Amino acid sequence: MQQEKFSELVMLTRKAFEEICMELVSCEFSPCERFILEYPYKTAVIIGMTGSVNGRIHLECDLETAAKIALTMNFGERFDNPNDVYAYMAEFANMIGGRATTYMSEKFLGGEIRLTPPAIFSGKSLGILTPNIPSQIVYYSGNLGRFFIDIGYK
Amino acid sequence: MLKVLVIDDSPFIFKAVKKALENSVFDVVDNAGNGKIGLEMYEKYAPDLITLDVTMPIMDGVETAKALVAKNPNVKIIMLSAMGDEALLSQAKEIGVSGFLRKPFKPEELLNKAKEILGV
Ligand SMILES: [Mg+2]
Repeated sequence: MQQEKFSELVMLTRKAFEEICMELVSCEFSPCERFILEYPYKTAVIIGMTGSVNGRIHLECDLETAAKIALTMNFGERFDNPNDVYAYMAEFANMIGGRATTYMSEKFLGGEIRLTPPAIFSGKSLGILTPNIPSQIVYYSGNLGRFFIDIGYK
Repeated sequence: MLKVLVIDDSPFIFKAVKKALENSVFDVVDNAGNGKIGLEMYEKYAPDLITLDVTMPIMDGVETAKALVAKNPNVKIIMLSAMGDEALLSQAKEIGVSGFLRKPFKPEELLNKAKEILGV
């Protein structure tokens, strides 16, 4: 893929992330310096894109950030089922992916782009690698915590 | 009360639809996590309105909408999707979906759309 188009796809994905954070949990996340998540428990969600754009968005944060995001999405109400935190993070990532595809199809004049249902991972010392796809990692920080997003398109 | 069935793989959307529509003329009866279960629940509840997600495992929203319209050409569906590209919007219209909202939606947006579609 041309560098220019790759950069554009990354930019649209970042825009989608920033907007969804504002609209859904009223939190402004700003780009920040690279960091290492030092919390032991992490949550990662991967959303795939197929069609006229092929790629994936891998969103990762510590469990504390995930819990704060999910609680805010849940109108501040505690969860009956603690696993709902993961399901809520999955939908959070799905909305980011969906917004990104909308922008991409507007920008590149149509072509159908569809999302795969989110894959959710959680655990200690989690490390996810997706070889064979050019990707860029971006870092964000806001009142509700920190995220890193590994954005890959081919 | 008008019965609403939520077909969506996210418990968050089920909760958000309930928050938006209850305390009104609507009763949100159940949540199907994919289209296949949604079709079974459609038979079970005979809902007045369905909110339908697009990205779901096993059977997606586009396939589900086609199957629902085949069962009942007058079925009332509001498609709720994170994706909002023109191709999807026109496909939904062609199938016979009554309304479309992009996620995240505002509670009043969904309530107004539901009332408008059901004429209440
Ligand atoms: Mg979904």
